[in-house]
Amino acid sequence: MLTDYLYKQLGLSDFEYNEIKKRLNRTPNMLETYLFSAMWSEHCGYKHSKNYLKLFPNDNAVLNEENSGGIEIGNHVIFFKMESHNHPSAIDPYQGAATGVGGIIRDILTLNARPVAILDSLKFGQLNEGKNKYLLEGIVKGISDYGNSIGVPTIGGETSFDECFSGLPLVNVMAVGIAKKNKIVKSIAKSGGIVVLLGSLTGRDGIHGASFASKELKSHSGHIKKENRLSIQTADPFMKKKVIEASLEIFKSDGIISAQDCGAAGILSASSEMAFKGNCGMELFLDKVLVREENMQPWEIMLSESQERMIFIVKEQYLNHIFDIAAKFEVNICAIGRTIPEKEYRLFWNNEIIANIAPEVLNNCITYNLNNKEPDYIKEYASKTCQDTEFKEQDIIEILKCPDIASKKYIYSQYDYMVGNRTVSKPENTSSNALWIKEEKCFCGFTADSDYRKTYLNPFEGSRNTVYEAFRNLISCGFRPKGITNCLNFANPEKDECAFQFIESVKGISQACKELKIPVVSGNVSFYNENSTHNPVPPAFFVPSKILPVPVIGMAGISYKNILKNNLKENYFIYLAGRDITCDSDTGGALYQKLFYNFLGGKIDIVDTNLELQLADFILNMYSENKISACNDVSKGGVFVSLFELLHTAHLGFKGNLINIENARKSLFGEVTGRYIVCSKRSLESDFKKYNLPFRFL
Amino acid sequence: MKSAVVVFPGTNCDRDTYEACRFFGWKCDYIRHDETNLQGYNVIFLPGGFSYGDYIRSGRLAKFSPVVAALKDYIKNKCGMTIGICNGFQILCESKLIDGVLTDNINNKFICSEENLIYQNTELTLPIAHKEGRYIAPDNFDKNLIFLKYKNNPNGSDMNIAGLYDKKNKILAMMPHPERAVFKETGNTDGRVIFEFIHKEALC
Amino acid sequence: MKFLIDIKVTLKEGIKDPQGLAAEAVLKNTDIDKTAKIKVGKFFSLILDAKNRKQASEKAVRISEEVLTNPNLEVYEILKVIEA
Repeated sequence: MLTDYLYKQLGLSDFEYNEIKKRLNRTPNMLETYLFSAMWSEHCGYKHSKNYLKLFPNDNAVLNEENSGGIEIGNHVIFFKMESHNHPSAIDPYQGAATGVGGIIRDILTLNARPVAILDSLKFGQLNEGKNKYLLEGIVKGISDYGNSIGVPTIGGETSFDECFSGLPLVNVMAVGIAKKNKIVKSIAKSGGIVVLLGSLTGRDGIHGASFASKELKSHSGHIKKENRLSIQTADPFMKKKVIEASLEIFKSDGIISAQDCGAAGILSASSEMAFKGNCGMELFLDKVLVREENMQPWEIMLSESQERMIFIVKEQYLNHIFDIAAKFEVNICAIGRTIPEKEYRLFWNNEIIANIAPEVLNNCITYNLNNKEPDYIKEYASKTCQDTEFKEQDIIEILKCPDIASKKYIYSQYDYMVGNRTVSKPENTSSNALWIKEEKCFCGFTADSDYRKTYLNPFEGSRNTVYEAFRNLISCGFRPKGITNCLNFANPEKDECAFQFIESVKGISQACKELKIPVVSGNVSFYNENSTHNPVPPAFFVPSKILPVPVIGMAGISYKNILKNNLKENYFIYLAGRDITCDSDTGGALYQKLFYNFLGGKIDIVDTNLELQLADFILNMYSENKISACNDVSKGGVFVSLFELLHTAHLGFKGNLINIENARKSLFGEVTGRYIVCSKRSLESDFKKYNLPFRFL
Repeated sequence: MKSAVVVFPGTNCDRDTYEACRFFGWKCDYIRHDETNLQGYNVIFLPGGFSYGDYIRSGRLAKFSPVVAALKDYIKNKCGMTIGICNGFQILCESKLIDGVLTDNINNKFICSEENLIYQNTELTLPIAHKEGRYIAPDNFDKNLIFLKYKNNPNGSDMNIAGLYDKKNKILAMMPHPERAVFKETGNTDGRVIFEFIHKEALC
Repeated sequence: MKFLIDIKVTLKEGIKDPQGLAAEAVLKNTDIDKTAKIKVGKFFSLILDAKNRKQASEKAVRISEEVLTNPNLEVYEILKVIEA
């Protein structure tokens, strides 16, 4: 009877609970109810998104079923994945952001890949509100203290501001790792192995973190406060650094069958998933888990989200060797169970069996189809038009000092972006960031991009364009794009509006990836980025209703030549390559409209795939023929900002004509797809003509 | 030329320093924090990073390591040259092998940038990446120890000091990272002159 | 009147204290004390104006709760409130 009361408290619905009973053919006991509440939460189970994420194409991706997927370069694989830590960062920006970095690094590490870079995509409310400043400072410091300490450079990312993120910051972190192709360790268990837990001691940290992140930060402060309190995890970068080195050393032995990091729902999720993937079972003896706190209950041990822990399935004869490595690196290690051929997940406490569930039942969480109905706002907003007023010189100052456009030096100077001796460019000087892959004598470029205003106006095309924008970022630095990861930040998917945005967004991203023939190698979904009431969330926050839809795209590309840097000099030719703005261009969602008129509406420009591919070929070919001296894609802030960025880093001025239509604001700051600023020592006119590309000399 | 790079728990520039040494054709070994034998090395690097996570205070917990005790003998017996880079400089200060202290940057933030430096009347650009790099000189400071100076003093160090060289004890300590400015692929090779200096001093 | 207030902030019971644990581990390798427990926190010293001791204490509580700590993570203790 007790469990009938418990499941609701833990966030399972009646429907889900009945389904569990049906699949088990019995009523789960209390511990089992805890296990289901975590494994069937949105965070672990992806129950509202799973049916749609199948749409993503993944041809040519390496291991996209694993903790992270990657792309192949010679004998190596570059793994990359992006993940959110939005909710924890709202509660404690410093610890939330730091543990966010920690979590995604482990996803890379567990594949036997050395983490080599971090990028972050951050969203904040406007900085004139004190709380947003506090969140920005805390989040940046959290990423800085953690990433710097573990010696993984934070090489770039994006930061943007809008009142919809006020008190609801988005912290999306992308980690990059490199592994030898023939040494990759998967998370598929085999029977006959010993289950080993390595790293930090297990405490009550973050218990309920998984179900917490899947709930709105809502209402009745008394109750929620108590829960939030339980969910805070402190970051321990020193332990992480030791875990990284110890794990990489352990992987060198031949004794590892499989590995998995402890993330959301800790030991439970990591171990049961391994058994499930390996089509075997597992016995865990919970009293063998080394704990940090007294009187920890079995459910607390299973659900604990203490940071910096890894699970290895080890061949028995290597156990001593692996314990020796752990001792050498001064990290805790304990053998907590074994894998078995029977497909059962059995938990013991002082030799007494306390839970027994088939891994399949635990891991095959129920999935939901979402109501996919176009919300009314879409047509309403599309029919609005932005009435541009006259251009003033002051506009230029306004757009350049807008925090979306202005220098992010405050942020990136706090990140060690160079440790590891692979970083090729400063975070600010290019639209993508390059790593030297010395193992394969090439360079890898990375970018993280999003455009929530356009995505809000047109979820399908806005998301599709976000992929193209990331694509253009890489092309402009001379990289051939090879794969994407994504982090999909949305509000409550159980509401029609958000459901529609989510489904369309996934479709838009899939469409773009198919058009560009780029696989989706990994991804993450963060729902419930909203607050239904205006009750304060500590510390004393006023929380807005919900965020705009924010699909963030992380993309990786390869170049065998050093990256395209800004070598712009005096008297060089400057061109706008690609689509030009006309009076009829759709520029909905442009930054300047928000900035000058607080306007959001209109139609957004639709990507022309052929033009994009032609432009990409042109730029990469011109670059390999050394005909291009500098290049920048045109995105937020339009042609003016794109050109300004090039001039600014080259310390040069400009004389020419940017304004091609009567509406100067639209001409300078309007945002349409498919264009780049291209600079060259000599005229490129014949080349443009040869490639049959639209261009304009500026 | 035989070099060694000391690895404390939490050190993270050990591999970068090792690769730089190898670039110059030096022999190089990693040495653990519990090592007590430093014989046979011309130069010992205490590399950058976060030994013991920089917990309590950067360099503070590392000074209790057996290797630091061994290093004191190595220096006393004039066995070779000692280089402290960034966290290595902090460890040298905390272990009282270099006079003065390093404390929080003037802006109380981590600073990562490429700084212009004055080295032997020439200018060079090297990366810095630290949070506790503001050097406070002791009262009886000997200005002849100054090895590197910041042009723009980002962290507020006394007399713009970025690096010191105690020629008598062959201890070179600096906040900038010359090992990050060796390979042309990463765009800056100004660090090579520092390694050339080390090579010359270590073998004389 | 001016008051001098000392406040100690530490992590809540049960929250992992990585710095304390690292310091304990190092202490184990010394001959000073191999079993000492170490907790790391912050110390704040405030000087503020208040009508009386009671008001000074009330201000100290508000400052502690709203500025110096995140109540999800930390606890504070007002060590002393004295007239300066």
